[in-house]
Amino acid sequence: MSSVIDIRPLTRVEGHGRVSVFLDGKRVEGVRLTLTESPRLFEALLVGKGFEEVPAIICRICSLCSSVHRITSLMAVEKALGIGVTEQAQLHRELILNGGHIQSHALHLFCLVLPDLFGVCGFTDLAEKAPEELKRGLRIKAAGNLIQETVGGRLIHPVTLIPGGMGKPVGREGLLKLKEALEAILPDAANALELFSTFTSPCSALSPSSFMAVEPGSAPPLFGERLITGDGEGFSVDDYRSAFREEVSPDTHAKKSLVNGKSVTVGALARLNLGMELAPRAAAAFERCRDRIVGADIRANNLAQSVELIHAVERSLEIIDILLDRGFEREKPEKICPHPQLQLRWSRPLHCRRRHYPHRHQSSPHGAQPSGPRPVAGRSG
Amino acid sequence: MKKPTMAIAGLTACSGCQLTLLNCEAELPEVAGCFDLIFFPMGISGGDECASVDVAIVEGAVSTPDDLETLLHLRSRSRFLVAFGTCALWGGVAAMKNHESRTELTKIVYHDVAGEVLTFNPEPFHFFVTVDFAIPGCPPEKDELLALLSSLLRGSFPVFPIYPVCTECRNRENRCLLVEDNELCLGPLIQAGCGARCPAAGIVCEGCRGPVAEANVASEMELLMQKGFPREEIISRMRRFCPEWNYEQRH
Repeated sequence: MSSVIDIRPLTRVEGHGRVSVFLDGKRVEGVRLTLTESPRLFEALLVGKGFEEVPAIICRICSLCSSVHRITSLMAVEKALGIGVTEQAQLHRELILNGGHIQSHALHLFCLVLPDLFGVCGFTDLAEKAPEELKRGLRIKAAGNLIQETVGGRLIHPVTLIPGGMGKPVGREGLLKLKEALEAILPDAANALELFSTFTSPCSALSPSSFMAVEPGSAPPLFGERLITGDGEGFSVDDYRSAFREEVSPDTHAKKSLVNGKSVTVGALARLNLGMELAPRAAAAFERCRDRIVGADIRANNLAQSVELIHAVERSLEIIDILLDRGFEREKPEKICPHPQLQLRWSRPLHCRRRHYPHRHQSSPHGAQPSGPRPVAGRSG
Repeated sequence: MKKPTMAIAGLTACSGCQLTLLNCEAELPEVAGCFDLIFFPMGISGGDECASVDVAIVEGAVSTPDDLETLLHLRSRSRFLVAFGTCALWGGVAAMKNHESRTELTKIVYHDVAGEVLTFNPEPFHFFVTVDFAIPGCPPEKDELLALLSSLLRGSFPVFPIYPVCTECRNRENRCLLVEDNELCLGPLIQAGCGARCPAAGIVCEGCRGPVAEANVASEMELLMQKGFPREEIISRMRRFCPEWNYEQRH
């Protein structure tokens, strides 16, 4: 006689889902995770939109990682148009990405995971059972959010990062405030690692994970244009369509991405396993718990996030020091005029097009020749 | 005094509105002490799905049969229903192509299994139920959420501004991106309350808080078209957060 236990809704996660446990008597025959997220059809929403709209729409995929989504879509748009960004814009992007890591890891560890470790239902009970730990977590999270708001213009869905550049940079006063907040939480981040390394998982080891992460070395940590897997394979983002296969599963709107036919684990645990370059304190912390992270299953991800938390705080401080040292002036964002072949039905005011493409009304049915000019970023009147 | 009971939930959305509560780091322990949070799946396990509550604060648009069931259920067991954020209030990002065929849009993403996906045009709450109060924004402002929570403790709702983002922007003495820089800024049409965050950072208002009452839509359209923006581009930008505008509206 078999029965099913349905856990619905799935709680303390971002998103919607349920877990079904299939029982044969007292024996568990199988467990199924179903993601019931409503389809928002982002791929379809983008069709026909100008390139400037893409990052603003895409960051709404998820609130916790809106900075990552925004930066990834900026990189895609810029790659398609063949344009780069200045050092100032790149440093601001890296800073907000690390800020996003701080707030997202702190939220996950202290508000979503920690209640389980103390055997309570959520942060409301933690406020009574482990108030100091909760407050420490919220302090770390607040510092990450301060970066989000100062650099991105607001806490969620940052607005200052735009194709080819940025809006107003963070001033000296803002940078000093961030530096003070981050220095104050460095000890908290170290404590977080101690706290999460004291917990051990009650169940036996799971099957080993196959990891995938951005290839370290070619760009600042978390950035890059090549992915590597634990099997030693690597491919460029250009090969995305051939390397990834998307599958639709029954009962769930989330598609499953397979890399060379296999499921892969991504995130903090994968990055640390695949050689992410860490700042000094984080590297020392990683050495102390290396044997619990290398080759470990997904349960070690919390510990890996604690290591990354230290790294994100340190790296943010490094970037702030560079920005303070260089004292960049505000740059006027460049007007981007895509190649005529890439222009959509509408994309820019006419004065912008006129300047660079005086012959736009005489275009041949095939558009520009392949040997024509590269897409340019130029200043408009 | 008995603590007010509260439910917080999300429908078709990014969870950003619920995250806005968790982003109130300094106030969160106090909020947890002032309210009895009896249902909040994103933050708390073991919530009571059936108990009546004083207030339900719900984010997201309604785009699936499950969403509608959840919304009707929350409406019927709550004294006050709050539409939390732009998706709940106007439809939001997911609704920007409500003027196109949902079936065709679904096919772009799910190809040959599109027919099996249960989805309809994402719509705001007031299409289906009575809404007692709304907080606009994508994301909403922390201050407006905290103003709502403290007002609820005193048995009332807060008063939000009824003027456009432009007013706040002028008060901050920002450079005007619309008039001086000829950019496609929606500030004159959009509900204030954000302190004109984006123009203050040198970025145009993208309209994330939805239309302000008595917006002078026709005048803004004329101004932007005089500046060389095609009508289709203006409409595409206005639809990003709110699919239904009266483009002829004048006040």
